[in-house]
Amino acid sequence: MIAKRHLLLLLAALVTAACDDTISGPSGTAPTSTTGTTSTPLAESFEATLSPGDSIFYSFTVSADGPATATLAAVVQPGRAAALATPLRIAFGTPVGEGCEISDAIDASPSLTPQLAATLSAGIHCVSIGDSGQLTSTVIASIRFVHH
Amino acid sequence: MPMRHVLAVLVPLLCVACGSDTPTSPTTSTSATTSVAPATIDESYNSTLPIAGSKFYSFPVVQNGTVNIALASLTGPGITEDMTVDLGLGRPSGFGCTPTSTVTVSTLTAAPQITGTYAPGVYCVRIADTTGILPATATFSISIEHS
Repeated sequence: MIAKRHLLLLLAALVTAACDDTISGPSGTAPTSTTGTTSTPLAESFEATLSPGDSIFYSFTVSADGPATATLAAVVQPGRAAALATPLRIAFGTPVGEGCEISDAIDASPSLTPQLAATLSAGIHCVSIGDSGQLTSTVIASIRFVHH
Repeated sequence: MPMRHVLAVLVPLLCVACGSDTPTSPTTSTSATTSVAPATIDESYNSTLPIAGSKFYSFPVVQNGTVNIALASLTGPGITEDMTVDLGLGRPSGFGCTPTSTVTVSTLTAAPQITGTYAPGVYCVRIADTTGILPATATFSISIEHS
């Protein structure tokens, strides 16, 4: 009789456990959940040739709202390997008309770390690079930017 | 009760209790109707087009609606009204505009030369002398109507 009772308890427990739809995490860890979609940051880069007074922009698509950064990575003179410390104006904006309507901008010298940070909404944006008034000859600028 | 009877009752219960987890579709459905706004914003893109060159112009579509594009004028030394250029509508991308629709038109082509319904976002119109047919730099005007 005792054996039967134990068998019934065991089977009832099995039914309960088998029908528990709770999703559990890996053994020994708490379940995790996400409340929204996430996107992986995307890194892009381009080079631009700038003469004194020039600016140029590059359009890109942000797939989800999120932070974005831009780095003026290098400035060199055409045909020369030596890096220049010349500051240029880097900016985020939106393509409008024949240009990029600036929303965030900074004058920055080349660096290995981002000089400009902004929060961008999903949609088409542009990153602009231009002479901040200190160019005396044509240069080639390398820009790296990261966005969602 | 014999043990085999207990098992005979509980095993089917286990199967029945866990055998119907197949998701089912909702029994009610809704349908969304997207309205199409008329083109109420007029812009003119006036610039110059070099021989074998291209130019583009970006504009925002604020609400889902009609977009009409037309080459209004193309003038310059040696340029006749039947001379054609490519006109495209697309999205700004990289250093340019990537057209999703392109037509070859002259100012004699019935307007609008590009029309359609477009969702909110940033778009661009691109004009190009793809074949290098222009005898000289042209002055052009493009009409852009959007919502």
